[in-house]
Amino acid sequence: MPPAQTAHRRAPASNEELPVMMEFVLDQAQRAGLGGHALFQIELAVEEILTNIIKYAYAEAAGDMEVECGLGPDGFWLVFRDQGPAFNPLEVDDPALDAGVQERQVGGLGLFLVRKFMDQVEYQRQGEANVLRVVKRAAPELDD
Amino acid sequence: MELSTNHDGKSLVVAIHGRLDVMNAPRFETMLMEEVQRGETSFILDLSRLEYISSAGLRTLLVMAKRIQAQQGKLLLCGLGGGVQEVFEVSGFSKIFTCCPDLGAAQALRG
Repeated sequence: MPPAQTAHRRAPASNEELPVMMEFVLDQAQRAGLGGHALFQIELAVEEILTNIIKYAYAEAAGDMEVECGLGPDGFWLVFRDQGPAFNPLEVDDPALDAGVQERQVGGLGLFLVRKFMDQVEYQRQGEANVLRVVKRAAPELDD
Repeated sequence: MELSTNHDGKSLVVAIHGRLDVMNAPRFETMLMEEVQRGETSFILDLSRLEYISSAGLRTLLVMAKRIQAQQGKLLLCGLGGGVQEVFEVSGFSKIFTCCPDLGAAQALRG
């Protein structure tokens, strides 16, 4: 398997750009040898993280979303950047998983799923940027 | 995402094909809410051909469940598998929804 190159893509943070960004990342992940279940989990994480940037990073203003990814010793890693106000997704409370239909809050699940599906999630505020790094271990799955 | 719907005499059976994500969840919600507004109170969502669901899709299902329950209606899910089932389990949605193995089981449970 040839080593995957580090790839990078930047686009305006908008719903229109989301499918292109997602396709880009999934293509990179597949080239890095990921498939099946791990690929499903990466796809979901990318959708949740980028959707969060699109919805909340810039309020009504325009700004960019950025993703960089590649295969490292720990697995397939992705780094997301935006220039919105500081926001650490690791500090968001978990949703109330045992609530019933009427009590259950709508929303708040996306970043929770990211934390559950990725093997590592790290946040840093670097200057004016939010930098979120996630890693999915690329170990072959027995059920694929 | 494609929806195929048919009424089995007691419930509106809605089969969701493909993906339920942030791009198409609003369209799904609109279509389902139209059925609720038309007076339908019993729904079975067949997810056996659903390949992908994100939190936007879950959100839509929860909004719909709240709405249907508020009208004393019924919503059953069936046919969850693979990654979709995992998303339901991790998010706790497999506990707040009644999930049946397949359509036949959902119809039997409904009575």
